Amino acid sequence: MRSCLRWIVAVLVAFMAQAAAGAAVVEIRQAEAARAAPGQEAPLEWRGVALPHEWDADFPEHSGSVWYRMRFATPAAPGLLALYVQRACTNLEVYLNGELIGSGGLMEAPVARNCYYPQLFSLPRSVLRPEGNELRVRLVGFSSGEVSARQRAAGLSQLAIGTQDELETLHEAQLFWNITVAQVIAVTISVLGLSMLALAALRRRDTYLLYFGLFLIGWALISTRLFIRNVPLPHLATEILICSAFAPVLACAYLFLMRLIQRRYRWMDLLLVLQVPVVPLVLAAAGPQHLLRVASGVYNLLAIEFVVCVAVFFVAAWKDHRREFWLMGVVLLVAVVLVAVEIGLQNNLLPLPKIHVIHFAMPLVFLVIGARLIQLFVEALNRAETVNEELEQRVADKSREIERSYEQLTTLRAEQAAHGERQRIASDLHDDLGAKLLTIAQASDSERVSGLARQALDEMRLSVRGLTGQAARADEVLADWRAETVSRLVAAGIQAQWDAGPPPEGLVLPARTHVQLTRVLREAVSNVIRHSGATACTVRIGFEQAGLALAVQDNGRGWPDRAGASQRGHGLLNIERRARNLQGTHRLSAGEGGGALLQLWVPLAGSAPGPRGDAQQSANIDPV
Amino acid sequence: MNHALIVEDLPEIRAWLGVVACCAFPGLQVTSAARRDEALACVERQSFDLALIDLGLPDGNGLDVVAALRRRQPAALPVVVTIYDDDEHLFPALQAGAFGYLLKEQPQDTLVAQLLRMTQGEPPLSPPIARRVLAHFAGARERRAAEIRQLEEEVSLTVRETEVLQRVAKGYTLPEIALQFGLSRHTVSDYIKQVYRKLNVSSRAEAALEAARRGLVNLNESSGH
Repeated sequence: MRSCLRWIVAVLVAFMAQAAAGAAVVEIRQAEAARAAPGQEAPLEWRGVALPHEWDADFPEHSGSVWYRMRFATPAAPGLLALYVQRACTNLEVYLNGELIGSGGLMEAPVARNCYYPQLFSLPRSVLRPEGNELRVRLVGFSSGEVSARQRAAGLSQLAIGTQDELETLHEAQLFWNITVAQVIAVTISVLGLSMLALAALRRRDTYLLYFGLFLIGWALISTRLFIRNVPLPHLATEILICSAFAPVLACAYLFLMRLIQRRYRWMDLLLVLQVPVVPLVLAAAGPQHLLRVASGVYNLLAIEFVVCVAVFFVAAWKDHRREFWLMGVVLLVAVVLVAVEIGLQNNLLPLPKIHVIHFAMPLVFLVIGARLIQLFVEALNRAETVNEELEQRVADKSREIERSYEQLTTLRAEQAAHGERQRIASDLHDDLGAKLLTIAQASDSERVSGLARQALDEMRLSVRGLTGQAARADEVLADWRAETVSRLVAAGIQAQWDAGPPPEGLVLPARTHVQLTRVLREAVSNVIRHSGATACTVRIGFEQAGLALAVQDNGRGWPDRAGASQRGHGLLNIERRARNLQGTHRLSAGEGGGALLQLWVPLAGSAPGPRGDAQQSANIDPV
Repeated sequence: MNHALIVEDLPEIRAWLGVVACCAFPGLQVTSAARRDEALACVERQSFDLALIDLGLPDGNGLDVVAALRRRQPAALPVVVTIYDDDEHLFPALQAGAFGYLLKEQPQDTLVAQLLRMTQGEPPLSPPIARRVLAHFAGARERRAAEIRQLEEEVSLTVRETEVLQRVAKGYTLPEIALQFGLSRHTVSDYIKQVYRKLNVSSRAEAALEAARRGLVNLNESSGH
């Protein structure tokens, strides 16, 4: 954002500066030049040259000093005056009327490397003369044979003289584009590169992160050539170093692209790695006079390698239908164009521009790629998190399931143990108590004793069933009751009418309720058979108000007239007691046509409160 | 009815069962046994027309005696006499081939009447037992081995037999069922007798297969009985 703003401001400033320069700035485009003998300072032989002046034109293969002199009238403008030199390669000193007024730095080896730096020098009023001034520039530089890039071959641009304010604007604009932007970009892509290396360290499998990080850092290091002026190395070594640095950077770019599309061509890997030490050796062997030619060859080779590498990437990405294809395709095409322009410059096919586009266009390409890689990384992270969450969910589900199964198992074991124990008790009761009661029942001569023993046996059996029995399905219970009741009544010569509504779907009776109700029904039917003298009996069973309603009605003698009062009393007391045990209600009344009616209601839904003491509700089951 | 076997460990009950049998069939000769091995020896030695067999014997289960009788003397009528009235005890007895069951504590005249009814071909069938029989033939069928299914093809219940069983399971008495289907009481009894027989055949097949599976018996040999 900030760099963007600076960009806009810089463009505006440059425009305004151009406009202003047209008015008050004096441009010097002609000069006399004379070279100094190698190792000497004194000029030899003056000749007229046009500015901008490249040494190749007039002093081919000359390295060392060249003097320029020119005359100019003192501008009329008030205020401070200044001299602006857009390009002086490699370094310069400025003399005004024989006085040294400015220097770009070291003029002896290692010469300060000012090829990319614009220069601005104040022109002191005290030295200026009204009748005219002589300006001399001593330029130290290297012939094109001794540099590895054409931009660093010796040469002097046109000079501009004007007010300090105006020239300063021009100077700042040039400085910004050539130097500040390069610095900002170097720092930015270094940071990006370091982030990539950090990611690569965390994510060893994605080696493309590592290579992209190394590539970015390599590029940042190379771009320092634009703004590092004082290198503690001989000039030749510096040039070889700069040129050689491109080989490993290209290798990293290649490895990055191939790893990104998961390709591995061993021979190409090997070739590019071997190239890294070979390039400086070749450059060193070329010697100072042929450095530019050999370096251009190296640049051309590297450019071709880059284009081949991009082509391989395209083919593979297309085959794999990779999502990267279009994004990376556009980005890489831009990169290829930039490289082509640079190669054109290097091979003297294009004129040297004022601003080097590749220096800030290439990093934009890198930023796009970096953003894409980070996006890939984040996507992978998100995917991993989703998978992880799903996994955790599944583990949690499984754990719950296991817990549930364990609980069920435990319950089942406990139930089994209890069941086994109840069975044992039941068995013991039958075998011991049952056998003795049976013997009494069958061996006794007394009818009363046998009857009591049989009753006791029956009670025991029901108790055991209450003990061991499971909850019984209501429809099955009704069937059992029907079979027993109807058989008994018919056997006693009483016409039986069974009237039971279907029980609610899935209703079960707890063992205790089942047993108690069976006894009540049995006793009620016994009562009818023994004491009523009836010829017909109706049994009604209904399921209502969360309970079971039972009605036994006969057409015999009513309650008060029945014989065997003690028996009757005993049986009825038992019915009453059992109804109470089940939190139910019972009622004795006269039936229609003079018989007796027994009504009973018991709740079924466990603790559901029944209408206690309200036997009247059992009238609900009266005949329809 | 000439010769009856009574298997019961309690002396008083044993004597009394003899009385019950003689009341039902005057002039009956009664052989008594108090133990399982004793009874099995009797079955080997003599032939019987009727057997009253208690289930809980001191040296084992009376069902073995029922099975042996069924195998050795198919003409004999094995009746289980027991103190247990639940289908968990009675159903295996019927599967083993018992033709009926009597509950020991009932008055003598009731027992005599029931015994007479049984010998006249009307085996008792309570709703829980009917439900078990239906489940045996229908519900568990899918789970059984192919060999048993094949054997059962010959002894599967007819539609009418199934209908009768379903009525019994709902609590209807045999006379009521006869009325509902417009059949004679005798015919309905015949259906029930068939059910008893098929239950026994099917159960024997199952037992034989189980034994073969455990390597106890050679299936071909056992099916030769």
